[in-house]
Amino acid sequence: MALALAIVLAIAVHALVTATTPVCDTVFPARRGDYPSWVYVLGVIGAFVIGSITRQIGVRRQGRVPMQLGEGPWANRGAVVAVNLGVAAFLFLITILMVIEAWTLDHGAWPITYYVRCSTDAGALVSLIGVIGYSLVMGRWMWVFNG
Amino acid sequence: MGQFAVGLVLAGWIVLAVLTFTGVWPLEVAFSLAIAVLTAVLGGLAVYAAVSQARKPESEVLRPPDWLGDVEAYFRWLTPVGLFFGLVFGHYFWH
Repeated sequence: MALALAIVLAIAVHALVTATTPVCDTVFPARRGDYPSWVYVLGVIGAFVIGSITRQIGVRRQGRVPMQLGEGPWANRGAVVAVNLGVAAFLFLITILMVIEAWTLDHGAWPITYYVRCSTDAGALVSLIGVIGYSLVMGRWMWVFNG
Repeated sequence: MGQFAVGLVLAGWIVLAVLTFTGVWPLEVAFSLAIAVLTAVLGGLAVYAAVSQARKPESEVLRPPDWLGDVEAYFRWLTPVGLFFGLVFGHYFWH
């Protein structure tokens, strides 16, 4: 999955670097690309759920017992500190992105969403594959059940 | 520390609400900043937890009280879903 996402990213970067004209409307990027919006929404939700389900199946097949932070192998001090610092880094990244979003909205510059719109307008299939891959990974990593 | 963090977030949100309703910022700017306040405080708590655990591994400083145990379990399941679906539907309908 990581390799697939890297390939998608490489294709997108190559297309952007080699483009001789703007890849989308530079004033107000289109709300819709080649595919209707529901394709993205349902694709993303489906990938998130499938990611979680395949993770659960993998855990059960391997006979592993999901444990919370502080239990079993996750009781190691280094693991606890690393996970907490990882969570902190993720939350601070969101903070920075939200401040950027607020600044762009307040100053009439492109908010982050416009870059997403531009990407779906410029390369619908690549964008769809990218968001589905990302959602699959998020479902596997984030939506894990202990029971 | 937990109560202090909750107070900090609420104070930040009240300031943002006042600034929004007095016309300083539009709602979408205040909304972004409200999330920024929340994640900044939660990030600070995560750093505090890491430092506490590094200094005293069995530290329970950030454990919620027992009566909130069920709520914690519920939010452990709900938070990833809320974050993810909020991102998807929030952008789909808002932007």
